[in-house]
Amino acid sequence: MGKVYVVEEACMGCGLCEVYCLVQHSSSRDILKAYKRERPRPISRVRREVAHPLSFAIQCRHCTEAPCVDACLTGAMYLDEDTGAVLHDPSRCVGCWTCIMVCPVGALNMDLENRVVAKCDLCSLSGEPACVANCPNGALEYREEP
Amino acid sequence: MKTHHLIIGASAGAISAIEAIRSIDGGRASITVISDERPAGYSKPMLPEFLAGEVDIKGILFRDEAFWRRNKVRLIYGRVSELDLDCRKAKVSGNPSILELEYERLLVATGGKPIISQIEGLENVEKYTFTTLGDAEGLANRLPETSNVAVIGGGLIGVGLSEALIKLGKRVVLIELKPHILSQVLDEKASGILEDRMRRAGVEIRTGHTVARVHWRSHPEKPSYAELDDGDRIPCQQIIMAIGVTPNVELASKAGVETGKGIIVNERMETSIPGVYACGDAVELYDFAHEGRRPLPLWPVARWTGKTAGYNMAGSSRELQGATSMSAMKYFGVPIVSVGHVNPGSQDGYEVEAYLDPARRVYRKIVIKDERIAGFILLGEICDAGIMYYLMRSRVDVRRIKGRIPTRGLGLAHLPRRVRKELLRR
Ligand SMILES: Cc1cc2nc3c(=O)[nH]c(=O)nc-3n(C[C@H](O)[C@H](O)[C@H](O)COP(=O)(O)OP(=O)(O)OC[C@H]3O[C@@H](n4cnc5c(N)ncnc54)[C@H](O)[C@@H]3O)c2cc1C
Ligand code: SF4
Repeated sequence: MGKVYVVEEACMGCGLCEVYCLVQHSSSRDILKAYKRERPRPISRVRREVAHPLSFAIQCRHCTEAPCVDACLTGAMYLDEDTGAVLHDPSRCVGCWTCIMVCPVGALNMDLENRVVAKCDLCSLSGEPACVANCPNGALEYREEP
Repeated sequence: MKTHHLIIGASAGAISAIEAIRSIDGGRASITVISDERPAGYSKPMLPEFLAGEVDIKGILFRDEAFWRRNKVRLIYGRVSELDLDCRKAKVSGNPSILELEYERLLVATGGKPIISQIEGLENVEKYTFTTLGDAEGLANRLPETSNVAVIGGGLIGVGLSEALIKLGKRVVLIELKPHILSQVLDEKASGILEDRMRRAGVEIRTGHTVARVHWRSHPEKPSYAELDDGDRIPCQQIIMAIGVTPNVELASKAGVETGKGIIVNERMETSIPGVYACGDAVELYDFAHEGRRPLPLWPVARWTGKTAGYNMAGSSRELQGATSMSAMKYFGVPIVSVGHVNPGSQDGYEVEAYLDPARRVYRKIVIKDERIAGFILLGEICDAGIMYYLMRSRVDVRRIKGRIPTRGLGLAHLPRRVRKELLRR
């Protein structure tokens, strides 16, 4: 399994990673509909941070021995044994936010309309994730090692 | 009968230990688990959801039946009634027979049990706690004839139970002795915001009071009621006591394991007796924020201590350097996270930064000692809670960022470069 790594120097903080992540996790997969019409609202699972001159994008690190997996009250957050990715099953999530309390990079988002957590699923491992594929500056890289 | 690992209890702590053992031994050593609750492996924190009918018995399972098979665990429903630690033997009473088990390593994962305060008249009430699936099922069965419930105790369990009852259309009176609910994990402002929300949802909250006596009549024409210390009568058909849990230590302490408020363990979760380990709600731990030993009856703590115990039982050395109180809440739709020491009062050496925005219903407070985070409450905006917990655990100096945390929130971009690089490389 690869992970998404940031190249801080290349990031301009444009936020296209957030846009394409949201579209990828919408049901229409259409940028206009995803932003304007879809209910419940689709949610981006990557966060752009800007503190000039620094900017970068951050999403789930798919930690080995992930604190969120250990803390989850229901088993909704789990380690996918086959790929090593940390995945989330919204049907088992009760939106208790315990995982948010222990995520060291703050990568978990609240989906308040559905009352569940929303997180990076590496675009469920169908190759290069949308944030990486759509970054115009090459500031996100999908690779095996840090 | 002989087993290598014997585990008493089949909940968060036990499951984590099993997963740790199997992650290194490839299924070699025999594991036997004894559970006096059926089904094994359900999630206690989901009991309010279960009562409210939002999840069924399958949905409440933290690990399903296949888990025990897949991990080659022999699961026995019964109760360990006696331990002989010198001969490494346990007596299990189940129905119909009594079983004697020999073991090499023992894990006491017996959890907690509800605290009961003696109230005049309560002896006549049939069932009045809410900590097991059996309790929840019993209460659910009695609810059709119930319109009013009195809940004693405004802690995590009492508030969660109140929310489930409101969802079911019941009238709820919540009685709390302290001036505010959730007084162990919140401060006055945070609990005030939540109380306000609860009242609007229909909960009657009576803080600063306790139940002096209970008048319980099985005859429906003579209504039952709880009488408060000021004489006020609260009519109710069900009364639930939720004033907390205490470590379930009797079995271990009778057998000679050293106990304080809970079973005493070291960083490897070993008790005072070689080969005997303990974890979860049954133990007391070093709380690094409160700087003392105490029980920390929380799901994540049970998982971490169980995992640590499991690794050590399987022969791989692992340590857990204490823990602290940590609660994430969603009651009545208000997201709240509380970690560590949140109410230092006028205690020496503590500094508090707080921010309140009533319009957006946001309240954020951090408690600082020696320029390190000692605790925090986040209400409304909580997504940076984990970063703060990380800074707290790793004792990162926050003097340059503490001012921004309550008002503007925290991202990795604001952390010292070394910490940021480390986190981004994870
Ligand atoms: C209603 C409710 C809501 C909660 N909500 C939260 C929450 O939101 N967040 C949070 O962090 N925590 C919450 N908790 C606490 C959490 O459930 C516990 O911390 C956790 O379950 C502890 O796990 P454990 O493995 O130590 O023990 P337990 O879950 O208590 O399990 C111990 C098991 O051992 C069995 N046992 C005991 N003695 C014997 C014996 N002699 N023989 C055989 N079996 C025995 C018990 O019957 C029990 O089944 C909640 C608890 C309750 C009751
Ligand atoms: S919010 Fe969902 S995924 Fe996170 S700990 Fe709670 S149940 Fe698990």
